Amino acid sequence: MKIADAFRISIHTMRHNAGRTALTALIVAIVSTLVMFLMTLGTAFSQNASNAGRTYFASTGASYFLDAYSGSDDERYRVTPEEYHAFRTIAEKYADVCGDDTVDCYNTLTLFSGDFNSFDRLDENDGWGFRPSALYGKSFSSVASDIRVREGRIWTPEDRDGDAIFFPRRLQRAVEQIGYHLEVGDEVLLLDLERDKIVKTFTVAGILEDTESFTDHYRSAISCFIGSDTLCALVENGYGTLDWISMEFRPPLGNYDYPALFDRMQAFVEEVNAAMRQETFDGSPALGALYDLIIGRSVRFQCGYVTAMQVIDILSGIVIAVFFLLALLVLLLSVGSVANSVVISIDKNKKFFGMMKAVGLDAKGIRALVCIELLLIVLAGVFAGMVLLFLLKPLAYQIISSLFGYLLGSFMTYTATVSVPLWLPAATVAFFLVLTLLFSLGSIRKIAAQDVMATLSEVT
Amino acid sequence: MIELKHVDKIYGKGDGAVHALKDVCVTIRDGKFTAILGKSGSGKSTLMNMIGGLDSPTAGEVWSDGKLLGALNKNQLAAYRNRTTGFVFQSFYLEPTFTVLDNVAMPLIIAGMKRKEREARAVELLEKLGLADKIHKRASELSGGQKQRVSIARALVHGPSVVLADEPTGNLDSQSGREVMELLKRVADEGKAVVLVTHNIADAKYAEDVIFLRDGVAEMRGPIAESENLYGE
Repeated sequence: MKIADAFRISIHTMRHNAGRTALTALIVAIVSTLVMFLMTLGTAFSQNASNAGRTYFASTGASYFLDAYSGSDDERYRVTPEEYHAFRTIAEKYADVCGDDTVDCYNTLTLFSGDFNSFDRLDENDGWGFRPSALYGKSFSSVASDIRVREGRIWTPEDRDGDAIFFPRRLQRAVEQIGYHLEVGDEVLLLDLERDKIVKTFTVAGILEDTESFTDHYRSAISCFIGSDTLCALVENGYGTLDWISMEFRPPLGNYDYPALFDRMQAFVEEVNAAMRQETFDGSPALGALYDLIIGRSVRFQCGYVTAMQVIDILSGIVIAVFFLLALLVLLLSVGSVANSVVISIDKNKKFFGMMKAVGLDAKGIRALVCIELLLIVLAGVFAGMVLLFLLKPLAYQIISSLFGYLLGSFMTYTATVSVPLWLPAATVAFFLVLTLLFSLGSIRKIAAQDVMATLSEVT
Repeated sequence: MIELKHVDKIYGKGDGAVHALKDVCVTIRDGKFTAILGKSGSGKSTLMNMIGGLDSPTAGEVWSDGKLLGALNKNQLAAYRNRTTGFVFQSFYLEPTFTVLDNVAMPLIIAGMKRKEREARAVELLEKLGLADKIHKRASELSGGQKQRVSIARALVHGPSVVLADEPTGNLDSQSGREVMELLKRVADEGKAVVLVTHNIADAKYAEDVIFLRDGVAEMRGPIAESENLYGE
């Protein structure tokens, strides 16, 4: 039998049973509206969460950070110079998703500390510090500072491994208070107070405005900047530690390929972590083994944005799964009545099927007639459901808009959108068909496989 | 030619088993009008169903033009029914909501013939059977006699080699019954094998060959004489 004839016969049968067909299609319409509404909400949540993330990224960019193990001052948990070099190499490979990196060196370098008439007074922290060479041997109050490396903005390649040091304006003011006016070109000494020696002589290469420098509010320390390779060389010689590497990245202006950019950021994070040593545990070996089993790699290098988007992805997946399960539940609860309608239809058409078999229709043809009738009813129902969904779309928008307004309102300006995924009606039809066919499989198989005379003898 | 060799048909099992056909050996000749005659419950419809591939024997073989029907699967049997046989049922088995044209063309629809071609064939046949004015009427709007003629048209439209008619006059008045029998006779005269299942001796008298069935046992014989009463009543 040609497929067009099968459709013609099915349409004829449906028209002949208009009341039952319409009732079944109405059930399909109501259920498919509910199903598609639920899935629209789920996908809209996911889509808007992702869009909000992109909007945030477009306006603020992202920051990466490579942390020493939090809460530990233990030397072995610090970022090693090798790790920093590995990080730099990988960062050069991912230059398109990298910004300027800053290496922090906390609790280590102190400028103008203590009594400088001699080296006999150790620094509270590590026992070494900077001072302008002009002040060597003079006494003044201590001014603590951190040293940081800030790459890419003001540094020349030579500076990275050179003797340049940049002072922030506020540090210059602090030095003023002890009677010395620090200027570009002045020499600054790095002193090893413990060993009574000058470790390195720096030249002041620039004064940074306050907005360009950092202050560790926790310790009220003011930062000055030296080249990264210089700092690493110092660290390798036992002067100071690398505590924190961070990097701000802003997306390029104008149009950019967000998914590709995000993939690169993700790959960058993964590659850096692969080059880092894995976190170890001081405590229970069992806990360490469990950590190795579950995580099994370093997670010290992180991008807040990438992590947030990964969490959003997981959350979106959960939300979609919950809405999908709800939709499936609605389908399962209602599909029985649609399947029942198919069974009744088969029963009512038994004489017709018997006649068709007698004149040569095979089992495949019988199954095709039943399936086409079901397909047409489901298509009509889902189409009506789409019309109803269109009417309900403002409600979906209201729900999503309120939710995102509540979640993001104080954080960023975001306009929610709701759209019905194109695959949704097709998926609803497919699910309806598959589930209904599963529910009515027994009757369909029976009528298709039954002998002609057995079919005809069942007709009353 | 259709041959039944030592065909047995038993319905059910154990004490309740019904032996509908017992070692039946009969031959349906091509182009001949054959009647299967017997009282109600004698097994004649069962025999017709065997010949038409609607039912399978418990034992024995049914051969149709050199093909063993028992060796065919369900789909092949459906194709056999669609190409080789035409059925005329006592209760017509027309689809009441379809037009006469669609009902007649049904075997051709199943065979996948193009619409134009099949409708031309059906119209030609309906005109030949005097139903030209009923072509676009629904089957439910016809009289019993007209329905049976439509049923005969459906049995002939695909050019089968054998037409099987199961009590075709059973639901008709005597005038319509006669017309239907005349029509089937004409079909046989035109070279088709016609197998008539009937309990009516008057109808069986149209046949050239008669298979007389009594309690599932078949006896082949020639035409029934005008005055002959096989039931002995």
